[in-house]
Amino acid sequence: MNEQQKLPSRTLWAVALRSLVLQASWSFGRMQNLGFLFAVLPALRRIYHGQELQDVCKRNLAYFNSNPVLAFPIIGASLRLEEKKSCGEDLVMEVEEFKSALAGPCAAMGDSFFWATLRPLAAIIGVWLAFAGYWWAVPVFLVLYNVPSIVLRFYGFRLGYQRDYKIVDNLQRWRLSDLAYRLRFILVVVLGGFSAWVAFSGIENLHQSTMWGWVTVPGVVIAGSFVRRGLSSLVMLIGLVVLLWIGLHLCTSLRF
Amino acid sequence: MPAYPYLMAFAASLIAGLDRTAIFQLMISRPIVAAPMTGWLLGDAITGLQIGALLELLWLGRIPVGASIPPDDTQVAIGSTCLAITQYPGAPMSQAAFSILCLLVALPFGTIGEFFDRVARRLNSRLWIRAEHAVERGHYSFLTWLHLQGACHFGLASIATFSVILLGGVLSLQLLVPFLSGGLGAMLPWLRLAVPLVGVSACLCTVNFRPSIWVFSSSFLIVYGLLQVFG
Repeated sequence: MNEQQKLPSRTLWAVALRSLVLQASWSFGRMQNLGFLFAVLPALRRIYHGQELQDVCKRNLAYFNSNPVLAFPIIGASLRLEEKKSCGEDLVMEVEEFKSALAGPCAAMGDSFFWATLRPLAAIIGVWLAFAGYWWAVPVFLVLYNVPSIVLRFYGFRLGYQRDYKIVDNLQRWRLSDLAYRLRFILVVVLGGFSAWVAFSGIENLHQSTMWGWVTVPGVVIAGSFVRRGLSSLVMLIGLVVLLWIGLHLCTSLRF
Repeated sequence: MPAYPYLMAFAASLIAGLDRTAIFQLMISRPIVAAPMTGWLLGDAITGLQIGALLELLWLGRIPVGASIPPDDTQVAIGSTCLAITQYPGAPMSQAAFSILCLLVALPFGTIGEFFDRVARRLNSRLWIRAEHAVERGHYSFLTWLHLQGACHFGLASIATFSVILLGGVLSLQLLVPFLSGGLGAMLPWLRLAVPLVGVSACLCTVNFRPSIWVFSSSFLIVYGLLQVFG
């Protein structure tokens, strides 16, 4: 990895792969604490021994919660800091302080980018392809989400281990918040295009005039305002089915 | 009643359920993947794809941030696909109409998943306390077992949710199929139009993008106009 690397590559790979199951023991009390210790344990056992190992393991059982993708740079950086600490180097900030200082911002950035933007964008593209009847909608969705996610996980881990505290500069340079904003613009454009396609093909199937499609936008906006006021999409859907059921029965009984 | 399709569906439920929170998070748990995967295992991937696409849209905006637990769309996707394939009564009801009925029946049970997920996370709260004792005794290898026990809790929660959806779904279908078999075919084209738009409206209001209404409207008008001219 670089000249200063102390931990063998095999151990670093073990930590990186274990980090993929960071959330396996997620709990309400301390969230990903046991997952964090499980991930870094092979490295800690190489760095520390005896009472020191016991103390450092206890420290790593403190509260930890971050985004599962952006937790990788934190794990990498904290390993390098543990190494430095074991060599007697003075640290600007304790490992625990560093972890807790970075966990919150990484969670906010990661959740906003991966959960609230990239996943819906990949999903809406996949859904559009699925509605059009393409079976490869599934691999397209998986590739669109997983390629950036997996690359950022392993690259972030490597970079975190190489740069320790300075990983903060890299995280800032990635500008994930700005990128998320731009991707959200694309997401809304795709949602608009998808709605137009659904409305057009749906109205054609119903053998109605396509002019009816123009009421879709006000319809979606009104439905959206109900959701904003707390109405769940599930309740809205059940209401819609009941209304359709009554409407179609009335039409049939009135021979309309 | 052959057990093989149900065993395959339980396997899909476990794998996708673990991917949802505990392991990897490669998005195998998303309805658009989990439903076609179940359908493929049960011999009808297309039905799974249709259910998965609809469900993905409906709960697109629900995200698992921090301690919030959204409804278990993974198990709803697998459960409704399993119901649609194994419980299909045949003609006169079309497979597409029956799939939508199965989805509607399974959807309310998704909230049960929140309960089981919460139980799994509560059980996991004991694990780190046991981990502290293991560290004090120097039993470091035991930490791995404790961590994997957490994954087992999530796996069991997934299977419990899937079982409730399957049992509840079978019972609800017994009641609803005779009642709805005539009308559902007529409702199908309307549902195909309305369900995705409900999903879009729910997603649109969760997108944190200020001019979303204007961008959405412009995009809609351009694409719809083009489809009217060239479609």
